[in-house]
Amino acid sequence: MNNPYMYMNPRGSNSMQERRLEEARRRHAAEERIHPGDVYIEAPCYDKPVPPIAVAPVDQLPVPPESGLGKEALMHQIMMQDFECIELSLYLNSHPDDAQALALHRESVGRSKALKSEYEFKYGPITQMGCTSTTHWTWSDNPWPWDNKR
Amino acid sequence: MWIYEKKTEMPINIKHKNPKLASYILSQYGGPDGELSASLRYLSQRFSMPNEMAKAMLNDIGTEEWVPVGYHGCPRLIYGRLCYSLC
Repeated sequence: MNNPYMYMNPRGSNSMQERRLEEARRRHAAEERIHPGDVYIEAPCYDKPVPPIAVAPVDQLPVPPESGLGKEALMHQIMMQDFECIELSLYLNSHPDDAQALALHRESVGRSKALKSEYEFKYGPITQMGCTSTTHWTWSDNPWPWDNKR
Repeated sequence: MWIYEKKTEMPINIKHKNPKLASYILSQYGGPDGELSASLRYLSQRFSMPNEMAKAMLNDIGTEEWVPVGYHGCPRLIYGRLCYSLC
């Protein structure tokens, strides 16, 4: 009953498919299969306590620097900075040691982050992580990008 | 993996009705040689690339192909009543 070769074709296999099938049957017969209740995903962090992380309340966040732009102009600046970041990233994929492009990318990312934190502080979140209100979930507020301006 | 940003990559403002252009743009988006199928091709091919540069490039352009989803997915465009012009 415990013979792992009990399903094997005694005439021998003549194709890859047959050999794979035989291997699968052998493993199944040898109880190497996954059983209900088997834990086969390694979860190295689930059983460890999370270290406490100090987080400032949202209403005490530092006020981001003021750029002096209105809502629309600020968003246009963010679009321009992000476009620059994306194009430089694509270039850097094929030129990873170009110091000039790296410097440009770093500057562009810095400007983009500053502008985005100002926009999110004043007008609302750009990503789901950007809600700065303590009383209202502003992510789901209108307008969405496809809402017509007029 | 991917995070939605509540903005488009470029400013967009729909000004004129043009169903013919709208249908053309939609075929560029979801058609046989459109951006949606290109994106899924790149994102599948990246897993079997032999070097780092090719993996990164396919990952990034496969992601980039989703940018027009922010524009073309607009229902007004899908129903063919409007087209867009970038300002």
